[in-house]
Amino acid sequence: METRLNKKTRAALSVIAIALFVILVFLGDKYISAGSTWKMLITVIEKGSIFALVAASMNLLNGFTGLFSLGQAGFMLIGAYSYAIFTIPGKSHDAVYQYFDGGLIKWSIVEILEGKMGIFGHYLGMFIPMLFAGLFVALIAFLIGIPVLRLKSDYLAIATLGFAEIIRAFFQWNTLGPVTNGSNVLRKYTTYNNAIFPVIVAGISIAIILLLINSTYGRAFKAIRDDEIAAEAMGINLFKHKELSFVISSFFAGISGALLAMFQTTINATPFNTVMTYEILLIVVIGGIGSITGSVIGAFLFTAASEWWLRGLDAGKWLGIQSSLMRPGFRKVVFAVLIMLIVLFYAQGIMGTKEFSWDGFIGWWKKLPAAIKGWPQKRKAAAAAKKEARAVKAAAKARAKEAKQDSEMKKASGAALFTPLPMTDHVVVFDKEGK
Amino acid sequence: MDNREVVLRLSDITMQFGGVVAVDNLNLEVHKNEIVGLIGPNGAGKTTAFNCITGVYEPTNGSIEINGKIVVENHPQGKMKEAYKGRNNGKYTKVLTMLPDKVTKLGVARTFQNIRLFKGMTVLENVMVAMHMNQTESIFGATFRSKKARQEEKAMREEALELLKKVDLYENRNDMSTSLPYGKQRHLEIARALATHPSILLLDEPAAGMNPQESDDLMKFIGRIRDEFDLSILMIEHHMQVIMGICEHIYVLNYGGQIADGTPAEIQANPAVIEAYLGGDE
Repeated sequence: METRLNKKTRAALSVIAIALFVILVFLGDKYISAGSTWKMLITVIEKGSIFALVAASMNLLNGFTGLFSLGQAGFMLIGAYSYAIFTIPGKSHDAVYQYFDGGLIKWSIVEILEGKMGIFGHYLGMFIPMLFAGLFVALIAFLIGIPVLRLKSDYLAIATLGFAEIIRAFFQWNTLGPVTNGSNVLRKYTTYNNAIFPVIVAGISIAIILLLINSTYGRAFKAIRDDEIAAEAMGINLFKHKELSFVISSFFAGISGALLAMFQTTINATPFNTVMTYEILLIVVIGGIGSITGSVIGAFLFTAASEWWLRGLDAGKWLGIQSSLMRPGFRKVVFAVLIMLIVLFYAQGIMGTKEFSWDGFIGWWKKLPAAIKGWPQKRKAAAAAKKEARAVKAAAKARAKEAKQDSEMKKASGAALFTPLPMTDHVVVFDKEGK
Repeated sequence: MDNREVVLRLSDITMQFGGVVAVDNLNLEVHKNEIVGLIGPNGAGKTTAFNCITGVYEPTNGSIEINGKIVVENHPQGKMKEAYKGRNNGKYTKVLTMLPDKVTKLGVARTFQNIRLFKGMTVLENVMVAMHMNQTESIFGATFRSKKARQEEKAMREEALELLKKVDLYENRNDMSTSLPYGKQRHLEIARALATHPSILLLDEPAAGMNPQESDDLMKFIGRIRDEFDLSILMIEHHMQVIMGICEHIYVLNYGGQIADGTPAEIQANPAVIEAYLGGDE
C-alpha cells in the first residue's frame, strides 16, 4: 500500500507550493530584465494562466456537463471589452476614440476610486470592472442559453459558434462606435503591473470551479454528462442545471477575457474568432476532457509551445536547424500535425479524467526513475502483450463465427431457441423489447 | 376487490405517434404496497406506457393520477385531432403535462430496460446524485461550502451508505459503477431509484439477462424492498417465472391494446393471452 498523506500535510504542501510559485512569479517579473530569455517564461506564465482559466471554464461545460459548446471566444470578447471600456482614463478618451468624438463614456472607474481611496482604490477600480465583465457575460450567456440549450451535441456547438461570431461582428459595428470604438482598437486602459495579478485571479477562479465540480451541483452536472435521460429520471431539472453550468462557465470566460485585455494592453474584436475557440478546445483536449488539472497543464504547454519553444519555426531557425521551409506560418503547420498526432494516439489527453493529488504526484515521482529505466523492456512487453491480444481476438472471432453458424442451424430447425416456461406450457419467454 | 387506496391510476391512456398507436386506451391501477406486472409481446407498448407515466412522453389522450391527484391529462390537439384513432374523443378537456424530474419529485422513481448508470461516477456517487433534488442549498452555498451545505452533504453521504448496505453494495461503494457485474448494476439502478424517496417504483425489465438463480434472488429482493421502503411497484418483465412469482395483479398488452388483466392464475388461463403469445389458429 502506498503512503497516504493526511489532510493537514496535504493542505500545508498545497499552501507552500502555491506561495512559492506566486513569490517566484512576482520576483521573476520584477527583477528579470526585459531582454532575457527567462522573461519569456514569465510571459508564458501570464498568458498560460489566462488560458488555463478559460480552458477550465470550457471544460466545466464540455467535460463536466457534456455540453459541446464553442462560444468561449465570444464570451471572452465581451469580457475584454466590458473591462476595457470602463477603465480608459478620461484624459485618454480623445486619443482612443478619435473617430467618435472621444466616445460616450468620459470617465473610468479606476480614476474615480483612485481619487477617493488612493492605491487601494486603484486595485478596487480594476477589480470591479473585471467582476462586472464576468457578470455581464453571465447575463448574456443566460439570455443566449434559453434558446440554445434546448439543442443537443453538434447542434449546440454550431449554435454557440454562430453566436460567438455574431457577437464579434456586433462589437465591430460602427454605430456602437462611441462605446466599442467600432473596428478600431481599444487601448490605454488600466492594466496590471506584475504577472502575479493574472496568476492570482486565475488561480482563485479555477479553485472556485474545482469547488463547484466537487459539490452536489457538480455531481448533478456529471450525471447530465453521463446520461441525460437517467439524470432527469433522478429528479435533476435538466434545463436549470445546464443553464447554471453555461452561465458559470461564461462568467469565468468573461473574467479571463478581462485578463487577456490587460495582458495584451490593446484589444480588438478580430482575434476573438473561431481560431481562438479552437485553440481553447485544443488545450482542453490536450489536457483531458473532464480534468481541470489537465486544462491547466495543457494551457501552459500550449502557450509555452506557441509563444516560446516553437517560435523558431517561424523565424527560420529552430534547434539549430535551418531550412527554407521555416517561414512565418510554419509554426501553425507543425501545430496542426501535433494536434492530429494527439487526437489519433492520445485521445484521452495528458490527464484523462484524473485530477492532481499529492498522493498521486508522490507516487508518480517515485515511479519515474524506474519507469524511465524500464522503458525499453516495457515496450517489448507491451508489444508481446499486443501480439497475444491479437491472437486471442482472432480465436474469439473464429468462435463467434462457429456460434453464429450453430445458432443459424438451430433457428432453421424450428423453435429450439424458445424455452418453455416452467409455469405454463403455452407462454414463451421473449427477449428484450427490440428498441 | 382490492380496497387498498389507489396510488397510481392510468385512465384511457393513449399514445399515438403519427398513425401508429403505441398504447391504446390503457386503464391501469396500482394499489398501495401492491406489486403489479405489465406484460406483453415485443412492441406491445409497455415501455411506452412507462414513458407516459414518467413524463418522457406526453400521452395523446387520457389522464394519469398519482397519489390521488391528476398530474397528467391530455386530449388530441392540432393535427392529432384528425389522426386520433381512440374512442375517447372529447372525454378529456384539460392539458396537464409533467417533465420527468417533476414526476420523480412526486415520488415516482424508475429503472431502465437497458441499464443507464452514470458511467463516470462511483457507486456511492451514483446514489448521491439521486439525492441532489432533495437538497435545498443554493449553488453559491454549495460551492463555498456553507455550514448548511456541509451538513446536507454529510447527511446525503450517510444516507447513501446506509442505502448501499441495505442493497448489499456497501463493499463496492468506491468502485466505478460500470465495473460492477451485471446483476449488481441492476441492484445499483434500483438503489439509485430508491434514493429519490419514491412511493411508487417502476421497474422496466429488472430481470432481463439474468439466469434463473439470479432472477430468483431478484424476486426476493423486490419483495424485501417493497416491505422495507413501503413501496408500490409496477414492473415490466418477460421472465414469466418472476411475474407469476411476485405480482399480485397482471395487465397484459398486445399491439398497444389491453387484452387482459387479473391475478396470475387468471392470466395463465386466459385464452386471449395465450393467443397473443403463441398466435391463434389460422
